Amino acid sequence: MVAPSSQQQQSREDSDRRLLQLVAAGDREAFRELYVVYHRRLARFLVRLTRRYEVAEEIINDTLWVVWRKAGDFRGESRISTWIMGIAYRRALKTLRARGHQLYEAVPIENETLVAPDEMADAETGEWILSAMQQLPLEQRLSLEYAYGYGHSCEEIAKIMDCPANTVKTRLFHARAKLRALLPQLAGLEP
Amino acid sequence: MNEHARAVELLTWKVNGRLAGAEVDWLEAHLEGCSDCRRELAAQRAIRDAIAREPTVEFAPQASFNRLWARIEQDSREALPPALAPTVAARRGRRRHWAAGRWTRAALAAQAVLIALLGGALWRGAPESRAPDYRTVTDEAPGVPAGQPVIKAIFDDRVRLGDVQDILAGAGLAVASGPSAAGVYTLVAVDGKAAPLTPSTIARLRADPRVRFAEAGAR
Repeated sequence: MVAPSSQQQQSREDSDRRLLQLVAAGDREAFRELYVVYHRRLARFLVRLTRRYEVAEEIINDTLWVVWRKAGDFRGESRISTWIMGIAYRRALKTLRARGHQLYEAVPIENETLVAPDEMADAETGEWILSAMQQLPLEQRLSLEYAYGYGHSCEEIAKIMDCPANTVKTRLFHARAKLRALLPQLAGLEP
Repeated sequence: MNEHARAVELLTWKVNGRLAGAEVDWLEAHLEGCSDCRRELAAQRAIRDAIAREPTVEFAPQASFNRLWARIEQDSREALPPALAPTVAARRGRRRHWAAGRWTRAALAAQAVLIALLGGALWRGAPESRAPDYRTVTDEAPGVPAGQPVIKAIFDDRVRLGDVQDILAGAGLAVASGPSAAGVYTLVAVDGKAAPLTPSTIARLRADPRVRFAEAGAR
């Protein structure tokens, strides 16, 4: 998955809007279509976050259950994807906290540096970055996912995470700083 | 914020494609002369590429969807008004989401409307003499003049009364009689004229996932 371009995002939004209107009218097939779209968007990220598919599915189904119930209440104050991602964010926090801290608490990074080979292939670099991300506090990690994985704007992430835009910027700043601390090679990548 | 810090902050939105307007040109100009920012750009692109990599496993959403849909249908059953679901009503009292509010009120209102419709239909169809109080699918619907177009419809088992009202109102239909022992409703146009009973009305009903069966008929 590559973060979608603005044009792709608009096309997705149009498609989401059409489906959501049908869902609000109780259209099961439209709901199934919307479900498949958001399952695809959320599953990879949530499996990585929770490390267990059944937990990811629980969050996805909780999220889409809310979408089914609230579709008629959506008034277009944000993009539909931002609205649904915001629901998923809250469901993920709730589920992870209910299942115990070990799933989302950060591992302290003091005295811990991941050392990757000097000559890292792109795939290996990716693996190391994903491993390093596991060490980040949940909010920082999610900020990275929303920005780089989903291509959300700063304002959209602030809406999803229900925090000020400056908090998003700060989380991203600290997340990158910690990744650099864990992966010194990250700072040495050739432009 | 100095120029360099501003550039670092903007790099995120350049990398994810959300940077727009004058900031694009400003950042490009800064990158021309700042090797630190070019390295930071490369690092952020590596983060983006790592996060955006396709998974090696394929997820099958249909099975997950089936589980969610079963849950939604279960919720719908539990949302039935107490008169129709006395055992469920007791459980519902313990359920925060469905315990009160517009769903319950809507269901009760729909129930009242449907009871009124059915009551009216039964009253209109009350025979002078004693007759069996059941009808088969092929029996003539009481209160519907011979030759008047009707629609025979069966709703999904789990459909709520509010849904029935919604479906009928959307199609300009009313219940003339039903449900039969087989669950068949005989529907007529609200205003008693034949006009709304067109193929498009049938098609509309068939397209509704809450309707299992819809066929034109005439009495």
